[in-house]
Amino acid sequence: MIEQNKYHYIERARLLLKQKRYKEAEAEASAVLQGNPNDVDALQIIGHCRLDNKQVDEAIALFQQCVGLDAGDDYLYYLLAFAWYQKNKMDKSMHYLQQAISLYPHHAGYFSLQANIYITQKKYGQAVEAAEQGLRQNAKDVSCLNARSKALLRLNLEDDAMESIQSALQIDPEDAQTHVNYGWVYLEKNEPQKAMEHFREALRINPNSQYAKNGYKTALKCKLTLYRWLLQYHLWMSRQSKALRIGFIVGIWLLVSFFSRDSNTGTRSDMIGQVIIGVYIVLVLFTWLGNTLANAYLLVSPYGRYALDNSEKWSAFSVTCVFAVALAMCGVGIFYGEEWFWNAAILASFSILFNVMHFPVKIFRGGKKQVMLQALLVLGLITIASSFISADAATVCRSVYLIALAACMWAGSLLNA
Amino acid sequence: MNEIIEQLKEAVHISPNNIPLRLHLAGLLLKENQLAEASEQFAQVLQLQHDNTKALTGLATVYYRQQKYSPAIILFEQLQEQHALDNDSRLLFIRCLLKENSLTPARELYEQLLHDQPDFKDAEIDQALRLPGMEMGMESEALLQELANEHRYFMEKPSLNFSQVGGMKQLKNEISLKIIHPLRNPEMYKAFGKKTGGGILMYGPPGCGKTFIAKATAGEISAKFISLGLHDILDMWIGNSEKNLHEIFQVARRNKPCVLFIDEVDALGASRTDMRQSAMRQIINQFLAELDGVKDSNDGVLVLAATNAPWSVDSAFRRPGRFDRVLFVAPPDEESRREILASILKEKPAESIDTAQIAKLTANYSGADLQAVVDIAIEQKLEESLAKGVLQPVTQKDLLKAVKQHKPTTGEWFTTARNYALYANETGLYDDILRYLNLKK
Repeated sequence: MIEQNKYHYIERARLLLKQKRYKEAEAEASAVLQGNPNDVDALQIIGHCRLDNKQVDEAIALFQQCVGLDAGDDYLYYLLAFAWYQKNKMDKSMHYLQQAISLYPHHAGYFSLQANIYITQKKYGQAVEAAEQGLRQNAKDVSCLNARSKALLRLNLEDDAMESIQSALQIDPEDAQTHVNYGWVYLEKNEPQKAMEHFREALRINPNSQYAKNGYKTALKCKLTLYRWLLQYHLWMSRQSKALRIGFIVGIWLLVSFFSRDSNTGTRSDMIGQVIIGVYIVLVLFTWLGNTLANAYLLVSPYGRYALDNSEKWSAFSVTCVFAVALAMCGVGIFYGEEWFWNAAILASFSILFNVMHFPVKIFRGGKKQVMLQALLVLGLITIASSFISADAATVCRSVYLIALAACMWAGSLLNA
Repeated sequence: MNEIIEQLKEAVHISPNNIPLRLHLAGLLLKENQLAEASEQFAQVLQLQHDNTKALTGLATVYYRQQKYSPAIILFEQLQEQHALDNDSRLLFIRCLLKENSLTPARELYEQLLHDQPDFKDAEIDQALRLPGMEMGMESEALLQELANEHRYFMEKPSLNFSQVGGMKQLKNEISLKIIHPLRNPEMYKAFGKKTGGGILMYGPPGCGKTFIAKATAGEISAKFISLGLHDILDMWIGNSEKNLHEIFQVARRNKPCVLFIDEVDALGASRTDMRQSAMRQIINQFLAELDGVKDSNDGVLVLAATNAPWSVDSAFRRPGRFDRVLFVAPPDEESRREILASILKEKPAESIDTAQIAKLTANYSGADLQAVVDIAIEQKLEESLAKGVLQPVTQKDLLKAVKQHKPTTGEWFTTARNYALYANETGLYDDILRYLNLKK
């Protein structure tokens, strides 16, 4: 291939990439590779296409190949860092990003990624610092301003965060990401109506932004007072450090078990203990299921229906169904005895499983967690079935199921914290 | 030869300030391709006399051969300032500019070169600069005629017409009203003071017949048909864009009635974020000026544009007088699918096919998808026929199997379009999509 033809192809491929015509861009770049299978520009463009199409592993392989051919290109390291960031591997991402920055320390975009990595790692102070370093390179870098505001918000500096966002919006009022950020600030300030305006605006600018859609859904659900409390709790928890969050969960649990330690003595404090346990269980269940139940509300609202994805829809639907059937079973229990109450309780506990299950269900596939959930579900069904066969078997099954469920939930909530 | 060089070196050593001698030595070294030494000698000469044209030319040539294009360009520019650029160095200069990808100055120089030497021809440069016609030293008027005659820009006169297009009733009506009636009853439109010509923008998922109906429109009014594709548009971005665009419109104006079809027109508009770059803005403005017919009347020129991504099309395109009709080309309905299937299967060996049943099963399939379904069925039959040695006709069962294998490709488009219709539809532009998807807000 003639050298100048190559530039023609590469330039076309870049244009196509910019216009998000990935298939055509790859075709142009491949034409260059036919002449020289190790052409760094072409490989990088193909990698970029794959990255934007969420084929992150292939993108990483291609960028690695590029780095092997041209170790001095900072942008390649940045792309690698970004790919690892998308795979949620922050250490690797930071490793490559530092290489990019050391090769070329004047790109604001590199620092905005760095700030975002720090935010994911919950190192908010460092995130602010990185974003400000980026702003020193380019004071009008919207992504740095956004990252800065995100970090400031987590540091409880709402006013500074607001200021940062407002300047980002002044620079580019048509940036969907900025509007999403603005929306979250308002949610944090417990002003869902204003939040909604910004999420709507973000969706108007980029209707395919998942972030904007998530914010929009959350703002819609805030019409429910209970959900608003739940959201405030989650936002508050997300601001705390990991140790504090685990301490909080364990602490509350210890407190509850302390107050209810003598709930079997039959005295007055026994009553209080049982009430405390009851309230505790309801609150815990609410933190787990509140979101999905609020989704069930969206399911019947005219706007929300379209915002939910299929998995969320099925989750909300099945959790609601399980509760409805469990309630019916309780009704039956009034006439036919205790056995039915137990079954209703076990059925109701399925809601916890459906809450985190991925839909459509892939039977005994889809990762360890999903397989475990499905195994628990089968165990629960066996337990319900056993109650119709023999009372003893039912007792044994119940204990096994409840212990397994409790173990999984505890492990799960600690891991999530 | 080496001996001579050695002798010359000695002589230069004795009289280091003798410029002609040094130039002679450097020239020989260059001839022998001893580039490092040649460059040293030329540099020495330039130290003695900084504007020596021979040394400048020589050094630039050395740099060119060493593939150091940017220093070579600097030297050539100096020569250009001194008006000492001969044709050989001009050629090298052009080559350097091409390597550095500065197409506009390269093109200017090449035009000068062709002016001085009309017989000159260099395939490589021609290809890079895409200047066919220029090599013949033609005037732009003549070039235009040539382009029209040569059927460049894929000019054709389609024999298709509306009766051959299944379904798409609304679309056909809109096009008739805007184009076909004005051409058939010009006096009536004149009476109402309405201009003929103008634009229609069609959008919809890929493979649903946007190009097809554009061609049929041209056939219906027996107009010429010029089609511009994605690659033509991209080349405008890269090369000398505005002139090209004007040329195409001129060709269309000279060949009226003419349908100018621009596929993937969103490539012209690019996306919002890209548009802030002024270089890209320019071509959009030129396109708008051509559409408006600022300098030349567009009477009798119908501009049809198609896009899969209407949300990327610059909103300025949709103002009155430009693409004032925006039409949604949906995947074919059941009746149309039946017609399409029947026409695809018409000349294929097939046996008792119930196209209605397949049409029922293929909701959301585009025309291209239906073609793919038939292709899959035929491929399998072909394999079987080769194995058995007897021609096996395609049966209903084969087609049903193929339908299961090939899922509609329009799904992906609709997931994106659905979001735009739900969240970015203030102007009601995407109401058709909402209606098609049965979404109510």
